[in-house]
Order: sequence, then C-alpha cells, then structure tokens
Amino acid sequence: MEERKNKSLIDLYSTMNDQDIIVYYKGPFDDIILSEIGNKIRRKAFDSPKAGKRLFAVFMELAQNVSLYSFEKNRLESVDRWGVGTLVVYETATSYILMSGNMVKNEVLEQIVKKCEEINGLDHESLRAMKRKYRSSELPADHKGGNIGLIQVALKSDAPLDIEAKRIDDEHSFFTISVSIFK
Amino acid sequence: MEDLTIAGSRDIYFSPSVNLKAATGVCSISGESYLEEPYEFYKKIGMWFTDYIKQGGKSIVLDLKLSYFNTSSSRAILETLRVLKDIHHSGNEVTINWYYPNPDDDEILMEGEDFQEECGIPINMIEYELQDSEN
Repeated sequence: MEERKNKSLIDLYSTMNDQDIIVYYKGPFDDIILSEIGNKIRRKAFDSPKAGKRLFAVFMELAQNVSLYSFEKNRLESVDRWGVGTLVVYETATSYILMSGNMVKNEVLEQIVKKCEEINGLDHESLRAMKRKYRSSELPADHKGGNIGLIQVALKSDAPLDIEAKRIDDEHSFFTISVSIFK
Repeated sequence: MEDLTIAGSRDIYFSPSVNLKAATGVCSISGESYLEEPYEFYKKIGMWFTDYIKQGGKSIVLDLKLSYFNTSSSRAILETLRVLKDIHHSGNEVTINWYYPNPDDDEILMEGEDFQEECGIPINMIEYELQDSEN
C-alpha cells in the first residue's frame, strides 16, 4: 500500500515535471497561503508586468472562490473556515495557464456552469455590461464575495473559461476551471 | 471633525492608503485593495463623507489612485461612490478623480468608466505616468 502511494506521487511529480510549473498546491485556501502564492506569482511574472498583473488578478479571484465556496472545508484545524481545493499555474512559450479545482454541490455546479456558459458567449463590452449589472444588484444571501469574480476572470484572460466537472456522487462533483493569459 | 487616515500596507491583505482631510475636504484613496472585511473598511469611509457634510462641509474632492483591487473591494468602492452621489445630489460640490496608469494599461481606465456608469456621478479620468516602483 505504502509503495503504491509513493509510486502515484512519483507519477504525479513526473507528469508535472514535463511542464514549466510555477505553482502546484492542494490543501486549504487560507489567507496566508493566498498571500504566499500570490506574491510568488507576482515575482515570477515580473518580466511581463501587464501579463503578471492579469495573472495575479485572475489567481486572486479563482483562489478566493475556492476559499469561500468549496464544499470541502479544512479539517486540519477545528475551525472549518477555509475551502479546500487545488491550484496549478504553469507557463508555455506564449501563455500562463492557471487551473483551479474544488468540490461543489451538484446544484451549485449547475449554477456555475450556466454562468460560465453565459460568460463564454459574450464579447468584451458585453462582459463589462454583465459585470456592472451584477455588481449593481443586491448580493445573494449566501455570498461573501462580490459575485462578479468569474466575470472579472473572463475580462482579464484571453480565452473562453475552460470548465470541467466530474461527478463524485449524487450530491457532489469536482469542478475545475482553466484560464489562459497571453504573455 | 477629525481626519481619517489609514496607512497603506501590503501584508497578508493589502490595504490602500486613505487620507480624508476635514479641514479642506480634499481626500485620497490610493494603492491596492484586497481586504479581509472590505465592506466595513469602505463603509467607514462613506460614513466619514456623510458626517463631514452634516458638520458643515461644503465640498469634497476624492482622488482615487488604485493599482489593484479585487472584486469584493470593487463592490465596496461602488457603495462609497454612491454615498458621494447622494451627497452631490443634495446640492454639495463633489469632484471625483480616477487615476489610471499609462502606457498600454487600459484596464484601470475601464474600471473607472464602469464605476462612473454604475454610480451615476461624473468621474474625471486622469492619466499618470507609471513609475517602475509601482509595477
């Protein structure tokens, strides 16, 4: 059993070694982790300040979504305040790619997918209009953020939001979103 | 009436630097905004503006020079701008200046334009030269 565990970790590590990975993280998305990874991303992308700023802004919104809305909460501490999830940032010759993943309830997943599909059907100006409309309306009761994070992510990135979901059981799915930012 | 002064900081959270001057009504919020309690932070600023007018202040100038803010902050900033709109609509002089960096960074300008459209009060868009240290 131990041997198998190690092997899968080695496989995971080798897979990641094939890409130029800036950050790979799985665990609770607490405020200190966000700050550490955020600073790392800022420093890494310093050569291209504009792309760096966008990458940082996108990271912050996606990470805060995991932190606030992941169904899975931190079990390492007695307070289950922080959402648990995973995040990968890597670079290709032309882009930075940022992916995040976390558990969601299936009914929440439906709302997120619907919102992402709506976002992906809009051009830049319509996205700005959508952001203004959402920002000007009252926050849903269960929202702690601004309710415009995904729209902001789309505005700051260069390709449609690439979303995927894997059903875990009747109630839950694992949701991932991938975003590209041109250098 | 006291000034409201908050030193900017960039630690686990980022607080903008806030300078609200009771003697002149000339105020500024600058830096980066990613806060643990954004609504409380900006509510305090909105309340200061309301009190300032209640206590006889006639005009407010607000310089906004923000280089980064997350979406929770942006919602809270919009609330503050709406407080200023109400103050303006009740006959007081309110000037809002939105500073955006050049070159080739129109994203901050667009944020300013979006705020203007949403809060319903004119905002002056003012370009400034980005220093290396501000990148």
